[in-house]
Amino acid sequence: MLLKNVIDSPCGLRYMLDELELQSGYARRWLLERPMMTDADKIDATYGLLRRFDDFVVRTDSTHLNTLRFRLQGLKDIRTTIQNLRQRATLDDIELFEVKHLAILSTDVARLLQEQNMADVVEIPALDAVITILDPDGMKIATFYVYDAYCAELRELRAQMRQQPDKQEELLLQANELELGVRQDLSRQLHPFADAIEQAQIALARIDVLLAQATQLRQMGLCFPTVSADGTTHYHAMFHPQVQAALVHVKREFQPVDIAFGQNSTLITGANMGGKTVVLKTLTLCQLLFQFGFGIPAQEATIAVKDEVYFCIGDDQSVERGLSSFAAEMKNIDRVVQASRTDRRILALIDEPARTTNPTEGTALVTALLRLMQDRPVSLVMTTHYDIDPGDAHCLRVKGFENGTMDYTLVEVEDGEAPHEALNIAESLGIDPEWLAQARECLRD
Amino acid sequence: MPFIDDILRYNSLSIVGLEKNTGKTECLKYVLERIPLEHTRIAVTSIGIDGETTDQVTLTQKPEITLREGMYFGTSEAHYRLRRLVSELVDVSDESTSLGRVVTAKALTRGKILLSGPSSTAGLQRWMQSTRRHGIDLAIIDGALSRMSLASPAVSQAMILATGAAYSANLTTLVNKTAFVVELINLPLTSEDNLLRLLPLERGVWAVNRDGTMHELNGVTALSQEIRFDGMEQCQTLYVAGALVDGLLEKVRRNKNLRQVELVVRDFTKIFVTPQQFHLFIKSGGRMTVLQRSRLIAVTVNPTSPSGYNLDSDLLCTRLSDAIHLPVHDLLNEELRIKN
Repeated sequence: MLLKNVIDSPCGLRYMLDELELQSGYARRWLLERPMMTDADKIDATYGLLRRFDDFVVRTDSTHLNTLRFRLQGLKDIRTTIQNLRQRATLDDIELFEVKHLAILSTDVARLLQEQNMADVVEIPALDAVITILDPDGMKIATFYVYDAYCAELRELRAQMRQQPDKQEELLLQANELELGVRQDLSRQLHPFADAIEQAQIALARIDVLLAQATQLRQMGLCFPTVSADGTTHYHAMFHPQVQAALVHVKREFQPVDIAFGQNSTLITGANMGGKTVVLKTLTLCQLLFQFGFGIPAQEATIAVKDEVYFCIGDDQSVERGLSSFAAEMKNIDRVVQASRTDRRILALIDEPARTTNPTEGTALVTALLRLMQDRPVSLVMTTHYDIDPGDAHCLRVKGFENGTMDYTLVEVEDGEAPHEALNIAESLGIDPEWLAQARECLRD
Repeated sequence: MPFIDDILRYNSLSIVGLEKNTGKTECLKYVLERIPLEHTRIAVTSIGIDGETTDQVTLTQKPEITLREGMYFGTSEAHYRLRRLVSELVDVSDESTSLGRVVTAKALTRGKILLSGPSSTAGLQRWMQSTRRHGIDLAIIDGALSRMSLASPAVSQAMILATGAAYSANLTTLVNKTAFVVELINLPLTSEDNLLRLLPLERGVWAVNRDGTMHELNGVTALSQEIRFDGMEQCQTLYVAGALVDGLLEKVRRNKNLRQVELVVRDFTKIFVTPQQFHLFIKSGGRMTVLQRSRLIAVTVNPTSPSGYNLDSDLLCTRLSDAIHLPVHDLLNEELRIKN
C-alpha cells in the first residue's frame, strides 16, 4: 500500500502532508509513492535518519537551513529524461540542461550537508563526471547549450554567423547538423550514468522530505515513536493536529489523551460528544504516520507494527455510491473480518458499528464481532453506545460530563455498559424541555 | 525615440493589442530593436498563446520575433526547439502550457524565435520572479487582451497599448473605444488593507464591512434579481473576483446601500461592461478600484485595417492624444518620416 492510496483516509492524513513544507513538487510525488513500511528494522532506521535531521534542524542556524531549502526548490522531476538516457535516445538541449542542472544541484546539496557533518546521512552519488561532460568550459553554472568547445567547426560557423547576418539561415542549418552530432556524442557519454543520476534525484527528494518532516516535528510538537517489542501500543498525551488547530481557531484547547492497547480487543464507551470518534481518528492517524515515518502527535508513543490498518467510520459518501449507510458500513467491516482469517497483523478501528439499525440486532452484531476477533491477529479498537458483554475485551470509558465541562480522559472500567447520559447532555445543549421530559417518562415506563 | 527611455524605468512592461492587426507585434519589434542592452538585461515572453488555437496546431501562425544577442526569452519547449538562433538555456520551469513547459534562454546570436509563455497570471508572475534571479532588469510581455487568455498583462508595472483601424474603422468610434479602455487601465489602486485581504480570493463576490470583516455573497450572479444580504448597510467595499459584467454593475448601482461603496475588481482585464453602464455607475457616485494596475506609458496606433481601410494617421494621433492625455505614436509613420 502506497501513501497516495491512504492519503485521503478520513483520519486526516492529508492535513499532515499539506502542512509539510516540501520545497519541490518532485519530493511530494516521491513521498506519495512510498510504500507503507511493515518491517520494524526499516521503521527504526527511518526514524534514525529523521533523528539526525531533527538534530540538524535544531543546531543549524536558519540562514544555512534556508540556503539548503532554497537549493532544494530547484529539484525537478526528470524521470522522462533519465528514461530516454537509459534507452540510448539522443537528448535534446532541454534534456541535457535538466541533467546538468540536477548534477550541479546534487553536488551543491552534498557540499552543504558535508559542511554540517551530514554527509553520511543520505548518500548522494557523485556526479562530477556528468558535470565535466556538460560543462566543457568549467563555468560551474547550471546553464546549457551545445558549447563551442565541443566542436571547432561549430565555433567557426557561429563566428561566421555573427559576421555575416545575411547568411545566417544557411549557416544555422549547417550548425544544427553539427549540434546534433555533438548531442549524440554527449548522450552516449552520459548513458552509463543514468542510474547514478536517478539515485541522485531520489536522494535529493529524500533530503527534502526528511528536512520537512524534521521541521514539522518541531513545529507541531510531534515525538519520535519507539517500535513496540511486545505487540502493545501506548500513547501518552496523544492529540490530533488538525482538530487541535481547528479548536485553537475558536479559542479552545485540545485535551490530549492517554491510551494503550494490545492484541486484545478494546471497547470504548462514553457519552455523546465525549471525543470517542476523535480518539479513533487519532489512533488511525498515528499508526499511518508511524508506518510512513513521520513524527507522531503525542508526548510519548510506543507503537506496534501492523501489516494492515482499517479505519471504519460512518461514511457520508455512501449515499452517493448508491449504498445505504448500513450497507456501506457492513461491507467495510466485512473487509476486516475477511482479512482477520489470514495471519497478517491487523489494526482495525471501528466507530460505532451497526449504529443505524435496530438496537437488538445491532448489539448482537457488535457482540459477535468482538467474539470473532478474540483469537485472531487483530487489534480491534471499537466504540459503541450499545450495552455489550465485553468478554475478554479491554474496556475504556470517556470520563464524561462533569460540573458542566467535558472530561475526555479515558478510564479503565470492568464492563462495557454504556453510560446513560444522553438526556443530560441533550439538556445541556438547550434541547426542548418538553421533549426531554417526555423521554424521561418513557424511560421510567 | 519615443518612450524607450520611459520603459527603462520599470522592471516589467506589457505590450497589449486591443485587436489583432493593431500593430502590437510591430510595437514589440520596435522596442526590441531599440532598447539599449549595454546596461540593461531584458527578457521577453508572450501570453498570447491560449486564445489562438491555430498556432497550437500549426506552430507557425504566430509571427516570429527577432532577438538581439544577449537578450533573454521565455517560450514553450515546442517553440524553443524551433528557434533560429544560438541560445543558452538558463531555466526550465514547472509552468506547463499546451506546448510544453516554459523555458528561459539567452540569445547568443541574433536570430528569430517564436514566443509563447506562461498561460496563467500566477504563472506569469512566477516567470517574472524567476527572471529576476537571472539578473533580468526588464521583463517584456507580449500581452494578449482577450477573454480567452487566463494570464493578465496587468501584473506588469508598465504597459503600452496598441490600437488601430482594426479595432474600429470609424475615427470617432476608435478614439472613444480606446479612451474607454485607457480609462479602465487608469483606474486607481485600492487601499493596502483591501489589497492584502482580497488578493488571495480568486472567485466569488465579497463584501467587506467597515470593521474589516468580510464574507462571500452567495448567489450573486448576473442572473439574480437583486443584491441583498445581511448587514448590507455596513458594507464598505464590494469585491468582484471574476468578471464584472453589465448586469452586476447595474444591480450595484440600483441598490441604495451599495451605490456608494468602493467596487473593487482584480484588474482592468476583468471588466466587461459597456461604457454606458460604467459611466452611469460613476455618475451616480460609484467608485471603482483595482487590485493590480499597470502604468500606461503610451499608446500606439496602426491606422490601417486588414481590410485595407486607412485612417488619417496624424489626425488619429492628435484626437486620441487629446482624449487620453498621453502620447500616441504611429510607429511605422514615424519611421518613414525619419527615413525620408
